[in-house]
Amino acid sequence: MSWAAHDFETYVIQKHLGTRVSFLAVVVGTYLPDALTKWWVYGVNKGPIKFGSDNPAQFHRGWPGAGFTHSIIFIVALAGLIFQFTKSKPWGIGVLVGGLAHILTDTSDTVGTLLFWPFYNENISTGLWAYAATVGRYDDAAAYYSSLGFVMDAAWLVIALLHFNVFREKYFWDVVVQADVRVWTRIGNVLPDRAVLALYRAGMFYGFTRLIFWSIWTHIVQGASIYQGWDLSLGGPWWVPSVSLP
Amino acid sequence: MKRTPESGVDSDDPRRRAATPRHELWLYFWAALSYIICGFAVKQIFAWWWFGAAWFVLFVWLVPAAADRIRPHRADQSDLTLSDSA
Repeated sequence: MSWAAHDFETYVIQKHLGTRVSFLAVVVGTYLPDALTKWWVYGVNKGPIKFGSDNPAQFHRGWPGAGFTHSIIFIVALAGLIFQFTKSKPWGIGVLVGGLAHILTDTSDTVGTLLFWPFYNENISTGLWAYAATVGRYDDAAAYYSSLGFVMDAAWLVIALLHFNVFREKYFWDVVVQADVRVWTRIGNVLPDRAVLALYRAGMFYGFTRLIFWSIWTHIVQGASIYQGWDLSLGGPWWVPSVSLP
Repeated sequence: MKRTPESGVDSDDPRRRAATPRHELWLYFWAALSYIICGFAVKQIFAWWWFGAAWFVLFVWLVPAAADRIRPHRADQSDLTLSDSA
């Protein structure tokens, strides 16, 4: 799976689609495929009992399982529902593009996604880095930021920064707000302008701090017990169990 | 947020044409640095995107507001000085 890349993608999409798309809808779209399943993938410990999936990869990306949440048809259906509900084209397009960006980015790990479910029930994967949710959240972070996943996040950060104009105050008011006046006005009724602008930039902030923090924690602090160093080879790092689905 | 009946939002407000002031960029820097430092105490905050967003918004919004309450506004002080000298 991808980490900070999902946070950076939203701004690049916004820049390319301009007022045709709602930025908030793109954010919703990028989070939706994992929204209801991620906590069960990593599990939650309540005393001696662990609540979570016995087979995280199968549950998260497989079929049978919740892997259909990473299919094109699911994203299209969801975007259609949101369009029906909001009667807003920028929201329908935003959820569609944001969701598609998420499931396409996730094809880069060894498990991949059920892109063409239910017509083709095998996972599509380029296998650039190891799917490591099976070892828990923190070890997963260490594995991801030691592999080509780090390169993916860093590349998306650079791409987002190359679209620097998208973070400017003027761009926010002239393009982002104009594309979705109704929702931003509601937010503006509660928060002052400075906070509204900060909310728009929050995705970049969160993605950037995640990338920096996990990289320091993994390579300098060496906080993960399974950490064995960088491995930028295909399907790396070698020190986590390689998981894949048919 | 100022609004006009037509668009709902006053995009011609000159404040919105200006670039983000340098002191505000420092706020963004401190918000990021403090979040990363806190992450070493509670790694879980890097699993809560909503917490990250709330941290950032509150930091950028409330820190200058608190500073303004503690310290008299610089602009007011300089005005007083100019009037006095005149």
